[in-house]
Amino acid sequence: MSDRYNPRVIEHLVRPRNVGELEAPSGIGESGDTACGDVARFAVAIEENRLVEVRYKVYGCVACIAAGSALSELACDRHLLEAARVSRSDLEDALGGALPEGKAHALTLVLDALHKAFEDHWNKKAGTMLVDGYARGADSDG
Amino acid sequence: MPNAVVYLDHAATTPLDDKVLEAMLSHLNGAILRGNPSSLHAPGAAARETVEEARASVARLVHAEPGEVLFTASGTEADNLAVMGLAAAQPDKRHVVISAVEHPAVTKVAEHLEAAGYEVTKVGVGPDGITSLSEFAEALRPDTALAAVMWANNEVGVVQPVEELAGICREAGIPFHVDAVQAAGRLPIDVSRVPVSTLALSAHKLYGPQGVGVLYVREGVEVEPVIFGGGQEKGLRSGTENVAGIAGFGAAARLALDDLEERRWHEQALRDAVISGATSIPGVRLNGDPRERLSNNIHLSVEGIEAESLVLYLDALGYAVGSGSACASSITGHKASPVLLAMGRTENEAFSAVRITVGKDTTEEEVEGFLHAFTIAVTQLREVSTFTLAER
Repeated sequence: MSDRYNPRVIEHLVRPRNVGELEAPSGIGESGDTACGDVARFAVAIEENRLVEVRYKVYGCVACIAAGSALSELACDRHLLEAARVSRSDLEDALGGALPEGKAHALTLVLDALHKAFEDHWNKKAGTMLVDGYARGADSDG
Repeated sequence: MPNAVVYLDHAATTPLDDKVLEAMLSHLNGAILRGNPSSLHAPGAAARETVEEARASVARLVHAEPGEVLFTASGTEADNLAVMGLAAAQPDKRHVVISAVEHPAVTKVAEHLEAAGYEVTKVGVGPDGITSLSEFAEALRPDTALAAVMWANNEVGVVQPVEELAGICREAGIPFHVDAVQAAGRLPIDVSRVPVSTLALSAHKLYGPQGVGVLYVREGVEVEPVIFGGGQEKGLRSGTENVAGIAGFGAAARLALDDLEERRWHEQALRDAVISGATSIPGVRLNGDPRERLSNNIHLSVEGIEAESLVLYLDALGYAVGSGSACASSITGHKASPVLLAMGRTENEAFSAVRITVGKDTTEEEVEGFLHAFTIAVTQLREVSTFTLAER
C-alpha cells in the first residue's frame, strides 16, 4: 500500500463532482463530526425511487473529498437500492485502487453520509405514508 | 511558470547550490583518488584536508573554533548526541528542561530519557510561540543535567530569545543545547557571544547536501558519545566521515556566510508579500510572531480546510508547500501539531495549517503566481467544505 494518493484521487480533489447543496432535497445525511476532524454531508433528490440528483460537501482530508466526489458519481442516476449497494470496494475501484494506509475511513465516512440521506428520505416518506394511509404508501414509492 | 514546480518548502530541505555540487563532485567522480581521512597515505591525507577545510568553514559560519565542530550524519543525529551525550556526562543529574516547541529530534530523545527514569520539564510558549524566560528560569534545578531550546522553530519559524536563555543557563551552570538547524544561514549565529554549550546544524537546510549534520561542542563542555567505533570526530562520532557530503557542507557554509544579509533581505521581502497577500483572504491567519520569525517562513491557518487538501491542491497547480500538521487516520486519531497546540491554537486551526518557506532563489513572479494559486485553492476547497466561515 502506497503512502501517496494516486492521480485519480487528486483529479477528484481538484475537480470534485456534484459539490453543493440541494434547495429541496428528498433527504440529507451527515456523518463524522468536527471533533474527530472529518464531516461529510450528502443531499439527495429522489424521484420514483431513482436518485436524480446528488450533492455533497466534505470537511476533511483529500481521501474524504475524493471519496465523496466518486460516490456522488457512482450513486447518481441510479435506482435507490442500487445506489445503496455501492460498496467500499466499488469506491476504491473508482478512486484507482486502495487508498493510502490509514485513509480507508474516508470510504466509511461518505457511505455513511449517503446512507443517512436515504434514511432521512425513508423517514420522511414514512411520515407521508402515515398521513396518507400506510397501506397505500407502503407499496407506492420509497 | 508552465510545467515547472515552484518550490516553496525550503524549511523541509533546500535545493543543492551549484557551487556546492561542484565542491562535492570531485570527491565522487573519481577526479580525486578516494582515501579514508583516517589513512596515513597521500589519498587519506587529501581526504583529511578536505574534511578539515570544511570544518573550518562551518566553524566560521557560527564563529566557533574548528576543533569545536563535529560532523554527524544529520541535524537529528547532532541533537541526539547533544541531549543524550550531555545527560550521560552527568549521570547523577536526572532532570532535563526543553521547550514545548522543540523539533522531534529533541522531544523524542527527551521522552526516551524520561522512559529511562529522567524527569523532563517542558517550558511553555506564549501565543506568539516564544519561550517564556521566567518559566524557563524557574524550571532549572540543581539536578538539571541540561536544557534545550531551539534557535528558530521548524514549523512556525519563530526565533527564540536564545541569547537570554543561554545567559540564564550559564549563570545556573547548566549545559544549554540549541538546535540551530533552521536558523543557520538565515540568522547571524555567533557562539563567541552567545554562551551555548552545544549547537546542532544541518547542511541541507542551507543549500548543502542531505545526510550531513554538525554538532558544535564548546571547548570544555563534556559530552559522552552515543555511537561507538573507530573514534572519529574526537571519539564523539565514530564512523568514516562522509567526505563528499562534508565538503558540500563546507562550501554551503562559506556561501551562507558570504551571502547572509543578501539572502535575508531578499527572502524577507518575499515573505512579507506572501503574508500580506494570503492574510487578506478572510479566515487566513498567520501563526507565530510576525517580527521574531525567520526571514523565509510563512505559517498560515486556513479556516474550513484541512492542510493536506490544500497542500495537494497547490501541488496539482505546481506549487510545493509544506503541511503544518498531518491527518493520520481515524484509527490513530488526528495528530495536531504539538507546536501549534502549545501556542494555544485549536485542533482545527492546527489541522488547517500550511507552511510556505521561500528561498534565496525564489522570485517575485513565483510569489505572485503562488498567491494567485493559493486564492484559487482556498476558494475551491471552501466550496467543497461543510465548514463555512459564517458558522464560526
